Amino acid sequence: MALASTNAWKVNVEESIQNAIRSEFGSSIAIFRSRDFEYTGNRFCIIRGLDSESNNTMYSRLSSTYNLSLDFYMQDLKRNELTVKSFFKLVSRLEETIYSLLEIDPLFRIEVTEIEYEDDIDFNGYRKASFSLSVRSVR
Amino acid sequence: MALNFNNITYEKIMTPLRDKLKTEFKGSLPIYFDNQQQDIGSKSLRIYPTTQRLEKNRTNSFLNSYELEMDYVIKTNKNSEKALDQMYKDVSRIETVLFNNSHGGSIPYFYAAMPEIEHNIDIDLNDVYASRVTVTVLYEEVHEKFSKFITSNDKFFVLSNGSFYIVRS
Repeated sequence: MALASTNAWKVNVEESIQNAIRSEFGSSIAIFRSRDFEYTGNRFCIIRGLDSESNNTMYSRLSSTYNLSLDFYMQDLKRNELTVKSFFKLVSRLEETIYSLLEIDPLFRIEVTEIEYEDDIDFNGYRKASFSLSVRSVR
Repeated sequence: MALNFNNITYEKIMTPLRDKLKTEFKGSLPIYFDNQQQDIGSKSLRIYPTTQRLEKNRTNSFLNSYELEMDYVIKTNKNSEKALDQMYKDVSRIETVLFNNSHGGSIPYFYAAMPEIEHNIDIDLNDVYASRVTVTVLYEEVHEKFSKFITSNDKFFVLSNGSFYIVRS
Protein backbone atom coordinates (compact mmCIF):
# COMPACT_ATOMS: atom_id res chain seq x y z
CA MET A 1 0.00 0.00 0.00
CA ALA A 2 1.33 3.42 -0.89
CA LEU A 3 2.35 5.67 1.95
CA ALA A 4 -0.11 8.49 2.57
CA SER A 5 1.42 11.94 2.49
CA THR A 6 1.63 13.80 5.78
CA ASN A 7 3.21 17.08 6.71
CA ALA A 8 6.01 15.36 8.59
CA TRP A 9 8.09 18.46 9.28
CA LYS A 10 5.16 20.28 10.84
CA VAL A 11 3.15 17.56 12.55
CA ASN A 12 5.71 14.89 13.41
CA VAL A 13 8.69 17.03 14.20
CA GLU A 14 8.25 20.72 14.94
CA GLU A 15 4.83 20.58 16.58
CA SER A 16 5.88 17.64 18.75
CA ILE A 17 8.72 19.71 20.17
CA GLN A 18 6.61 22.84 20.36
CA ASN A 19 3.80 21.06 22.21
CA ALA A 20 6.18 19.39 24.67
CA ILE A 21 7.76 22.75 25.57
CA ARG A 22 4.37 24.45 25.81
CA SER A 23 3.00 21.76 28.12
CA GLU A 24 6.07 21.92 30.37
CA PHE A 25 6.56 25.69 30.55
CA GLY A 26 3.04 26.95 29.90
CA SER A 27 3.04 30.65 29.15
CA SER A 28 6.38 31.34 30.85
CA ILE A 29 8.31 30.67 27.64
CA ALA A 30 6.88 31.60 24.26
CA ILE A 31 7.86 29.28 21.42
CA PHE A 32 7.65 30.06 17.73
CA ARG A 33 8.36 28.28 14.50
CA SER A 34 9.84 30.56 11.91
CA ARG A 35 13.00 31.14 9.92
CA ASP A 36 13.29 34.90 10.26
CA PHE A 37 10.90 35.68 13.08
CA GLU A 38 12.28 37.89 15.82
CA TYR A 39 10.40 38.36 19.05
CA THR A 40 11.47 40.35 22.06
CA GLY A 41 10.01 39.19 25.35
CA ASN A 42 11.76 38.12 28.53
CA ARG A 43 12.16 34.49 27.50
CA PHE A 44 11.36 32.82 24.23
CA CYS A 45 12.38 30.04 21.86
CA ILE A 46 12.49 29.87 18.08
CA ILE A 47 12.52 26.54 16.21
CA ARG A 48 14.05 26.51 12.75
CA GLY A 49 14.06 23.49 10.45
CA LEU A 50 17.42 23.02 8.74
CA ASP A 51 17.47 19.86 6.63
CA SER A 52 16.33 16.25 6.48
CA GLU A 53 17.67 13.07 4.96
CA SER A 54 16.10 9.71 4.36
CA ASN A 55 17.52 6.76 6.26
CA ASN A 56 16.38 4.30 3.57
CA THR A 57 16.14 1.39 5.94
CA MET A 58 12.56 0.17 5.67
CA TYR A 59 10.40 -1.32 2.94
CA SER A 60 6.94 0.01 3.75
CA ARG A 61 7.78 2.88 6.05
CA LEU A 62 9.66 6.10 5.57
CA SER A 63 12.37 6.80 8.12
CA SER A 64 14.02 10.20 8.01
CA THR A 65 16.39 12.21 10.14
CA TYR A 66 15.46 15.85 10.61
CA ASN A 67 17.95 18.46 11.78
CA LEU A 68 16.68 21.55 13.54
CA SER A 69 17.92 24.42 15.62
CA LEU A 70 16.17 25.67 18.72
CA ASP A 71 17.36 29.05 19.97
CA PHE A 72 16.50 29.95 23.55
CA TYR A 73 16.74 33.59 24.61
CA MET A 74 16.60 34.96 28.14
CA GLN A 75 16.81 38.63 28.91
CA ASP A 76 19.45 39.28 31.56
CA LEU A 77 19.92 42.88 32.58
CA LYS A 78 21.26 42.12 36.08
CA ARG A 79 23.98 39.73 34.87
CA ASN A 80 24.83 38.22 38.24
CA GLU A 81 25.34 34.69 39.54
CA LEU A 82 21.64 34.13 40.25
CA THR A 83 20.64 34.98 36.70
CA VAL A 84 23.42 32.73 35.32
CA LYS A 85 22.10 29.89 37.49
CA SER A 86 18.53 30.59 36.40
CA PHE A 87 19.59 30.59 32.73
CA PHE A 88 21.32 27.20 32.94
CA LYS A 89 18.42 25.78 34.97
CA LEU A 90 16.05 26.67 32.13
CA VAL A 91 18.49 25.20 29.59
CA SER A 92 18.60 21.91 31.55
CA ARG A 93 14.81 21.90 31.84
CA LEU A 94 14.46 22.47 28.10
CA GLU A 95 16.91 19.62 27.42
CA GLU A 96 15.01 17.29 29.74
CA THR A 97 11.71 18.30 28.12
CA ILE A 98 13.12 17.47 24.69
CA TYR A 99 14.38 14.07 25.89
CA SER A 100 11.00 13.35 27.54
CA LEU A 101 9.66 12.86 24.00
CA LEU A 102 11.71 9.64 23.85
CA GLU A 103 9.47 8.08 26.49
CA ILE A 104 6.32 8.54 24.49
CA ASP A 105 6.89 7.03 21.07
CA PRO A 106 9.53 4.43 20.16
CA LEU A 107 9.40 5.56 16.51
CA PHE A 108 10.45 9.07 17.51
CA ARG A 109 14.10 9.41 18.48
CA ILE A 110 15.40 12.84 19.37
CA GLU A 111 18.90 13.94 20.36
CA VAL A 112 20.38 17.21 21.52
CA THR A 113 23.62 16.98 19.58
CA GLU A 114 25.05 20.31 20.67
CA ILE A 115 24.30 23.44 22.69
CA GLU A 116 26.23 26.63 22.04
CA TYR A 117 26.20 29.53 24.47
CA GLU A 118 26.63 33.12 23.41
CA ASP A 119 25.17 36.56 23.77
CA ASP A 120 23.07 37.42 20.78
CA ILE A 121 24.30 40.57 19.08
CA ASP A 122 20.88 41.26 17.59
CA PHE A 123 19.21 41.05 21.01
CA ASN A 124 21.30 43.19 23.30
CA GLY A 125 21.18 41.99 26.93
CA TYR A 126 19.94 38.52 26.07
CA ARG A 127 21.69 35.29 26.95
CA LYS A 128 21.30 32.73 24.21
CA ALA A 129 21.56 28.95 24.10
CA SER A 130 21.47 27.52 20.61
CA PHE A 131 20.38 23.85 20.58
CA SER A 132 21.17 21.60 17.62
CA LEU A 133 18.52 18.89 17.46
CA SER A 134 18.42 15.68 15.48
CA VAL A 135 15.11 13.83 15.17
CA ARG A 136 14.64 10.42 13.61
CA SER A 137 11.00 9.88 12.84
CA VAL A 138 9.34 6.95 11.10
CA ARG A 139 6.01 7.28 9.29
CA MET B 1 3.48 14.95 35.76
CA ALA B 2 6.23 17.52 36.20
CA LEU B 3 9.61 16.59 34.86
CA ASN B 4 12.52 15.94 37.17
CA PHE B 5 15.67 17.61 35.99
CA ASN B 6 19.08 18.67 37.27
CA ASN B 7 20.80 21.94 36.49
CA ILE B 8 23.75 19.98 35.14
CA THR B 9 25.80 22.72 33.49
CA TYR B 10 25.71 24.94 36.56
CA GLU B 11 25.65 22.41 39.42
CA LYS B 12 27.78 19.58 38.02
CA ILE B 13 30.19 21.35 35.69
CA MET B 14 30.72 25.02 36.54
CA THR B 15 30.34 24.98 40.33
CA PRO B 16 32.68 22.02 41.08
CA LEU B 17 35.31 23.58 38.84
CA ARG B 18 35.02 26.93 40.61
CA ASP B 19 35.10 25.25 44.04
CA LYS B 20 38.34 23.45 43.24
CA LEU B 21 39.95 26.67 42.04
CA LYS B 22 38.63 28.59 45.08
CA THR B 23 40.18 25.99 47.37
CA GLU B 24 43.49 26.40 45.58
CA PHE B 25 43.61 30.21 45.61
CA LYS B 26 41.92 30.67 49.01
CA GLY B 27 40.15 33.93 48.15
CA SER B 28 43.07 35.64 46.44
CA LEU B 29 41.50 35.20 43.01
CA PRO B 30 37.86 36.33 42.56
CA ILE B 31 36.05 33.86 40.30
CA TYR B 32 32.75 34.61 38.58
CA PHE B 33 30.44 33.14 35.93
CA ASP B 34 29.65 35.31 32.93
CA ASN B 35 30.32 35.49 29.22
CA GLN B 36 31.35 39.15 29.50
CA GLN B 37 34.33 40.56 31.36
CA GLN B 38 33.63 42.28 34.67
CA ASP B 39 35.85 44.82 36.38
CA ILE B 40 36.67 42.99 39.63
CA GLY B 41 39.73 43.57 41.82
CA SER B 42 43.35 43.53 40.67
CA LYS B 43 43.00 40.06 39.16
CA SER B 44 40.06 37.80 38.42
CA LEU B 45 38.95 34.66 36.63
CA ARG B 46 35.87 34.47 34.42
CA ILE B 47 34.31 31.06 33.75
CA TYR B 48 31.64 30.35 31.16
CA PRO B 49 30.77 27.37 28.97
CA THR B 50 30.91 27.81 25.22
CA THR B 51 29.59 24.49 23.94
CA GLN B 52 27.93 21.27 25.06
CA ARG B 53 28.24 18.27 22.73
CA LEU B 54 26.59 14.85 22.84
CA GLU B 55 29.40 12.29 22.74
CA LYS B 56 27.49 9.05 23.32
CA ASN B 57 23.82 8.24 23.65
CA ARG B 58 23.72 5.10 25.76
CA THR B 59 20.73 3.03 26.85
CA ASN B 60 20.47 4.60 30.28
CA SER B 61 22.64 7.66 29.98
CA PHE B 62 23.91 10.52 27.88
CA LEU B 63 27.62 11.33 27.81
CA ASN B 64 28.17 15.00 27.08
CA SER B 65 31.34 17.03 26.76
CA TYR B 66 31.28 20.63 27.99
CA GLU B 67 33.85 23.10 26.74
CA LEU B 68 34.59 25.78 29.31
CA GLU B 69 36.39 29.04 28.69
CA MET B 70 38.30 30.66 31.57
CA ASP B 71 39.76 34.13 31.16
CA TYR B 72 42.40 35.11 33.71
CA VAL B 73 42.86 38.89 33.90
CA ILE B 74 45.46 40.83 35.90
CA LYS B 75 45.62 44.63 35.93
CA THR B 76 49.02 46.18 35.37
CA ASN B 77 50.94 49.21 34.24
CA LYS B 78 52.29 48.79 30.76
CA ASN B 79 55.28 46.46 30.40
CA SER B 80 55.23 45.25 33.98
CA GLU B 81 57.24 42.05 34.13
CA LYS B 82 56.10 41.46 37.69
CA ALA B 83 52.48 41.22 36.57
CA LEU B 84 53.49 39.03 33.64
CA ASP B 85 55.29 36.63 35.99
CA GLN B 86 52.27 36.59 38.32
CA MET B 87 49.98 35.73 35.40
CA TYR B 88 52.20 32.83 34.27
CA LYS B 89 52.41 31.60 37.87
CA ASP B 90 48.63 31.71 38.45
CA VAL B 91 47.81 30.10 35.11
CA SER B 92 50.28 27.29 35.91
CA ARG B 93 48.47 26.78 39.22
CA ILE B 94 45.14 26.59 37.41
CA GLU B 95 46.62 24.04 34.98
CA THR B 96 47.96 22.00 37.92
CA VAL B 97 44.56 21.99 39.65
CA LEU B 98 42.95 20.71 36.44
CA PHE B 99 45.62 18.01 36.08
CA ASN B 100 45.23 16.88 39.70
CA ASN B 101 41.47 16.56 39.23
CA SER B 102 41.55 14.99 35.80
CA HIS B 103 39.97 11.71 36.88
CA GLY B 104 36.97 12.60 39.01
CA GLY B 105 37.08 11.66 42.64
CA SER B 106 34.03 12.18 44.80
CA ILE B 107 32.17 14.00 42.02
CA PRO B 108 31.21 11.92 38.96
CA TYR B 109 32.96 14.00 36.35
CA PHE B 110 36.43 14.32 34.92
CA TYR B 111 38.31 16.53 32.53
CA ALA B 112 38.52 15.02 29.09
CA ALA B 113 41.92 16.43 28.20
CA MET B 114 44.53 18.83 29.45
CA PRO B 115 43.58 22.46 28.92
CA GLU B 116 44.67 24.68 26.08
CA ILE B 117 46.24 27.94 27.18
CA GLU B 118 46.60 31.17 25.22
CA HIS B 119 48.57 34.06 26.70
CA ASN B 120 48.21 37.79 26.04
CA ILE B 121 44.79 37.58 24.42
CA ASP B 122 42.84 40.69 23.49
CA ILE B 123 39.73 41.13 25.65
CA ASP B 124 39.02 44.82 24.95
CA LEU B 125 40.32 46.02 28.32
CA ASN B 126 43.18 48.49 28.77
CA ASP B 127 46.23 47.98 30.98
CA VAL B 128 45.65 44.30 31.68
CA TYR B 129 47.34 41.01 30.89
CA ALA B 130 44.94 38.22 30.02
CA SER B 131 45.23 34.49 29.45
CA ARG B 132 42.55 32.11 28.23
CA VAL B 133 42.35 28.54 29.54
CA THR B 134 40.01 26.24 27.62
CA VAL B 135 39.15 22.90 29.19
CA THR B 136 36.77 20.12 28.21
CA VAL B 137 34.73 18.37 30.90
CA LEU B 138 32.98 15.06 30.38
CA TYR B 139 29.82 14.33 32.33
CA GLU B 140 27.56 11.32 32.04
CA GLU B 141 23.95 11.91 32.92
CA VAL B 142 22.15 8.74 33.97
CA HIS B 143 18.43 8.92 33.32
CA GLU B 144 15.58 6.92 34.67
CA LYS B 145 14.15 4.37 32.28
CA PHE B 146 10.44 3.90 32.69
CA SER B 147 8.71 0.58 32.24
CA LYS B 148 6.05 0.88 29.58
CA PHE B 149 2.83 -1.12 29.44
CA ILE B 150 0.06 -0.57 26.95
CA THR B 151 -3.39 -0.64 28.47
CA SER B 152 -6.33 -2.48 26.98
CA ASN B 153 -7.61 0.53 25.06
CA ASP B 154 -4.14 1.09 23.52
CA LYS B 155 -4.22 4.79 24.20
CA PHE B 156 -2.04 5.13 27.24
CA PHE B 157 1.36 4.12 28.41
CA VAL B 158 1.33 3.44 32.13
CA LEU B 159 4.52 4.32 33.90
CA SER B 160 5.96 2.34 36.77
CA ASN B 161 4.70 4.96 39.23
CA GLY B 162 1.14 4.63 37.92
CA SER B 163 0.90 7.88 35.98
CA PHE B 164 -0.12 8.02 32.32
CA TYR B 165 1.30 9.27 29.09
CA ILE B 166 -1.05 9.75 26.17
CA VAL B 167 0.23 8.09 23.03
CA ARG B 168 0.69 10.56 20.20
CA SER B 169 -1.53 9.97 17.20
